[in-house]
Amino acid sequence: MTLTRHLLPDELDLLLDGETGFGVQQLTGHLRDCAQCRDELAALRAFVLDIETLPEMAPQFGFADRVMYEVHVFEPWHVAIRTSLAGWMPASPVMRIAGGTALTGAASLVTGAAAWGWAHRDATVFVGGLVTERAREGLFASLTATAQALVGPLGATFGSGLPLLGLAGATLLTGAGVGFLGLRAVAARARRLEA
Amino acid sequence: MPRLLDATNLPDADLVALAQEGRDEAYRELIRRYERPVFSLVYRMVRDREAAEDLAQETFIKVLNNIEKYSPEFKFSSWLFKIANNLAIDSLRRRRLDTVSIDGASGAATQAEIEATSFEIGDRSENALDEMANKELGAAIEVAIAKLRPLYRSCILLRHVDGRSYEEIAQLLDLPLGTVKTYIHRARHELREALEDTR
Ligand SMILES: [Zn+2]
Repeated sequence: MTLTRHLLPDELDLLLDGETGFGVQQLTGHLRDCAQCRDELAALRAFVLDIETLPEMAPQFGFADRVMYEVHVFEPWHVAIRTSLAGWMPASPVMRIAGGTALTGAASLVTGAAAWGWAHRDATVFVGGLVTERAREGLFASLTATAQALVGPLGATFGSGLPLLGLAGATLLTGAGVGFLGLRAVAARARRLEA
Repeated sequence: MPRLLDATNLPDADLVALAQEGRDEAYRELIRRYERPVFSLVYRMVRDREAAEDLAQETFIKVLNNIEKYSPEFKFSSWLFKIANNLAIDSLRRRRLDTVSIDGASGAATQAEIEATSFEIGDRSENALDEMANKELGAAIEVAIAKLRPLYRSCILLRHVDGRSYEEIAQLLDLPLGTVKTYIHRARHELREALEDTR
């Protein structure tokens, strides 16, 4: 069925938007036969084109810097680790090859030693046990000596309880020291990232 | 130090992914890519260069400081324009205290809609804009757009200046699709009527 009137503004909008839904066929049918409505649609298209070709405006120079000054570049932990590891990689290809060779050599040496140890495991277990025992005795003796020197006369009162006390104190001190150094390293890394 | 990358050819989604990894160049490329469209939108919304500069800046700072929350199911530019438009509308609302306010859109049903679509423009800027209108068609269109109700203005700018689809605009402005279409059609008619004399 053909339309017996001219197109309404809303109908022209539908055609301009390229709608294809129900009833649009009737509108396009009218458009084919009516020069006035064709002109009207062409004028609407030209008008929209005028809007679409309005020039783009630019903010003042240095806009990106001003924005970035207020933006906190966020680096997730896995990226931070990857970046740190990449920092260890030598820059020149020659150094990379040398580093790779040295690493491979060291790995081979360790593997060889482990294989030998496994083949002679009785001897390894015996020597290992001996070394561990000696080390333990040495450490124990030095800790006792340190504790006695620190506490002095009190040592006599508490006798055999002291080495244990000394060991606990030393462990605590070492733990605190390592913790402090670790925190400092983390803070320094954070400051570098922020800078 | 990560390798420098040529960010200019990367799609937005890849740039956002790199920015989420803390790559400074990716942040800067996103700004370079959208500073003009965002500035143009907010400038045409608020018609004040200094305010537009601040709003555009605020838009990028807000978006980039929350880049890790970006969800890739939406277009990055839609998110950016949504923030820009909201900030511009808020700024217009705040400015309403010293501006003339005329009744809301004829189709506005709720109080919120009336507020959102009410026409507001300062006395002084209107005179200045009227002077501009005599110069050329482009300026006349700018003036006519500036006189539209804020939501009509957003719709027409997003559709015909930024080339967004109706669906995208509906999502961006949190409006039903039909409402967006109606607003754009009405805005076009208002603009044409306003420009009748200049043609
Ligand atoms: Zn006709």
